[in-house]
Amino acid sequence: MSGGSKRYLMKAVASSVAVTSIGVLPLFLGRFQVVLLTEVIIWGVFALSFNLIYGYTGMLSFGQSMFFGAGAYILTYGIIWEFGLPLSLVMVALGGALLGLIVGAVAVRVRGAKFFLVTLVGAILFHLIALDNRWLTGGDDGLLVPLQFRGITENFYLIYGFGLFVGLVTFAIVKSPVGLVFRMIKGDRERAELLGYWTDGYRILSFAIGGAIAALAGGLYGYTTGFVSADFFHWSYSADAVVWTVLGGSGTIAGPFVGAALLTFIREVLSSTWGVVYPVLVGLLLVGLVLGFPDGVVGLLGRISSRYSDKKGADGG
Amino acid sequence: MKELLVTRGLGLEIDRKNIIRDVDTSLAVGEIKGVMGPNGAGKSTFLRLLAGELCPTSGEIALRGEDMTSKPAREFNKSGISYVSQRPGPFPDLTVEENVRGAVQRGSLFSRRSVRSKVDTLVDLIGIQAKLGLSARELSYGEMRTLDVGMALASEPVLLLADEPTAGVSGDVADEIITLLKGLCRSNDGRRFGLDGLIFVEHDKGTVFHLADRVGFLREGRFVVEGSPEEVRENRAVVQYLAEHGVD
Ligand SMILES: Nc1ncnc2c1ncn2[C@@H]1O[C@H](COP(=O)(O)OP(=O)(O)OP(=O)(O)O)[C@@H](O)[C@H]1O
Ligand SMILES: [Mg+2]
Repeated sequence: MSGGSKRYLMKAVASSVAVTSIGVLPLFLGRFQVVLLTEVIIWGVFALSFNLIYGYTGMLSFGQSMFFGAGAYILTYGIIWEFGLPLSLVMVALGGALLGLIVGAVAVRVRGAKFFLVTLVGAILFHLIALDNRWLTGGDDGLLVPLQFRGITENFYLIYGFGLFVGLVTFAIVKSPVGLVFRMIKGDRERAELLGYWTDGYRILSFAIGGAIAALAGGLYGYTTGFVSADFFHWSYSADAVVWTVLGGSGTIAGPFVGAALLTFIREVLSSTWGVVYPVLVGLLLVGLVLGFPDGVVGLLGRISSRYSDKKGADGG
Repeated sequence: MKELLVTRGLGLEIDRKNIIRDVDTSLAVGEIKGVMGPNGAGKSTFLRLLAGELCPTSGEIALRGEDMTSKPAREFNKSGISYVSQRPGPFPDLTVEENVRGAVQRGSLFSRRSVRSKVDTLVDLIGIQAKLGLSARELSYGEMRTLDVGMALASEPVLLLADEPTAGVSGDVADEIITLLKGLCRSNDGRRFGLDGLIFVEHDKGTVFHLADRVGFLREGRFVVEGSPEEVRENRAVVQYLAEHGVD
């Protein structure tokens, strides 16, 4: 078996084991931990949406909170208007994709560092608009999602299944011909253009897919908490997505989930001092990551495991 | 003679500096043109204009009679102009196979079968089978340049522009690249990846005079002389330049 396919097989086995163990985890956990685990999966999906735009297409966007908030409200109104959960989720995905197309079409016109600023300004603007339009969003006080909650374990498996589905779809996308173009754009946009690709079109597409996924995360979060407010549009959600992704490992499917889990765990351990510690921690982490291991925890594990298997190969031969 | 590429009054001015001045030149179908000249003469800039990477501030470019001047770079590629830049260009984080596939798939994104077979043909042509699984950053310099040429051929261009494709490449590999390019131009009777024209920049005069049908000597943004290798070799400016910088 060639080195490449061997590594591929190892990855597949490792992912299956990880996914299965998370699936049986609720059997051994208390109610509170199951709720936390459910949240971690939602945050992982949310960070994954950013990862597609940043880790795979190379655009450092601060705009994910726009899609997150929009998704939460589309779901809420879907439930209020009695479309039912499945149809509401479809609307959330389509709404997120449409918003992604629009935001993407504006953002990709801006070159260089200004790109980041434009997406940040967009995020802040959406938050202000949501705060101001109480008739629609309920402002700070928010809206209740009028539904019968399914129970903690049942909700976990709903979110778990969803996380798995989104993870697999994203995997299929990044492995597809379109995903290859995304990665080429991340590597060198001008060169991709010289090879004949309309790179702005692909960048907008990446935004649309990322928008749909982020909106689903927002919708599922609203569904899980039974409550949405204008705060769902707060730009700090964008920042969280960046931190989770970069910490866990950008440009990988597992990375955002690992990052979200790690930070949620640290948050719980440090709960009382979290408000002070989080910003400092984030700052240190980002510096450490950029200097030390740019591809995050997953990248680090990958490097360790490949070093290990290289050594084995050398010993054997 | 049928013209493949024609430029009229082509110029590029950046910060009030004329980097390319009023260049009228043409390339006949089947022709190989070598461009030489001192450092900073504007050779790379000239090719980047022809590749659509830069937009000229004056003049025009036509490919087979079609005006290309204000089109974006990707349209140059789609119209049949491919470009190997002076700096190695493979995507370093992608594998060699992904690099080739990324270049190949553009016109047929979802027909896996035809992409697959074209990748295989191209990989055979440039002889990089053994390296397919490596990431491009692990390649030697010569392998990167070979991959550059392969990726430029992927769109099955009519015209290839190559900026010093063999500079800094060890002798054997450089010879392979030259032989490949020459073969693609000389026996283009329906052969896959065959070229209708080639414009290359090269410092090594041996390579220029050996490979080119016509040679242009560029200095300070304009062609001082253009003609057959024999004519150019005897031009006073060229003689002087070669005496100072000639490699052989
Ligand atoms: N984007 C730019 N802005 C300003 N000046 C530029 C730009 N690009 C190139 N130049 C200038 O234009 C001139 C021609 O550069 P070019 O790279 O085309 O030369 P060249 O003939 O390819 O040289 P070399 O043999 O070193 O590759 C140089 O003086 C360079 O400094
Ligand atoms: Mg040059």
